[in-house]
Amino acid sequence: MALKKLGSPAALFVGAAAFLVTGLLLAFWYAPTDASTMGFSQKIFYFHAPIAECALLAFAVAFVAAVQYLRTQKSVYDRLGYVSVRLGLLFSLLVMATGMIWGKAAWGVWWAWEPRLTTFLVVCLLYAAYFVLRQTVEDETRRATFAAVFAIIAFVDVPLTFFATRFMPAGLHPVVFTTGGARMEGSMLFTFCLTMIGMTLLLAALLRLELAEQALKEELDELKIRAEAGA
Amino acid sequence: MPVFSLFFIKTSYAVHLGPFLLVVLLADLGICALGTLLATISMSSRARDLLLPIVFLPLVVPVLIAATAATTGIFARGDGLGSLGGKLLFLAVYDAIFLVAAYGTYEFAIGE
Repeated sequence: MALKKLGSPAALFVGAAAFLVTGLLLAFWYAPTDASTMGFSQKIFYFHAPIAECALLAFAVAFVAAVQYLRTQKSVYDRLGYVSVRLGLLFSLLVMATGMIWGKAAWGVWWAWEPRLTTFLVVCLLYAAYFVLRQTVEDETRRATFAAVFAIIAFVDVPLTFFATRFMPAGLHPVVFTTGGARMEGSMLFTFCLTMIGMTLLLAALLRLELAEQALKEELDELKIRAEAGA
Repeated sequence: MPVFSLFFIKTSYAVHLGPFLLVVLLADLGICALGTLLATISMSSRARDLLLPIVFLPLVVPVLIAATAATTGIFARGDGLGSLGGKLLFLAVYDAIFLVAAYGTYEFAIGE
């Protein structure tokens, strides 16, 4: 499996911590305060955007795992899909939390029904429904198949969220990366890249850890069933 | 279409019938494609009557928003096909994506 080559979770955690701490320090003491109306509150961008990208990345991993599962029927892909949807939802909730704080500071409201926020909420609800689906199907192979089908269907909404700010310019949400390049200063971009790499490493580390944990849990369940049958 | 909408019909609406029917057709296609696939999935689950709305609603919301926006444009502002282009394109693309996705995954969803 390709994920194993990424290094041990411990090494990934150390890398993530190094990048994120450096990024945090740079965000406050190196990158300039935003010149526009956002001012100091723009600092949260260095965490808000990387978390958002990681959430979408986790859903992309779940999508690939789902396609692989349907093709090969190997339970390892089902496990990977489950774990990455779980992490994706966790990161999504973090995005909403940081986004709300930022929204209150920059726009004066906690929540606005504009395209990016609405589509993101829809994505969150969808992936929350994924767990309901998993909980209510008892047969293991059917559950894995349905979960995979649903992960594929749900992923359609993810690019929609990503492009919402680009296709529907009426929204409040700023577009930072355009085809003409990044709309920010070099020092800001550098800091942003650091936190971005850090957050991606953190996602990879959590993914590996959760994957191992899930495998152990399934093994334990199997052992319990066997012990009960033997007793 | 609810029958009581007949009460609200004005003769001037007739010119909008073409674009309106196109929007209805596209929206219905999306709802059907999604509904069929998700209903098949939720049928074999334990809480089928609970699961279907939970999975169906978030996915159908974009279709509903686009269709409502398009019909509002048609009847309130008299938008022609030209100014509806974006919304119609969105509906068509959304339909196409889900038709392809449903076609690809239906075999697995229906199971044994």
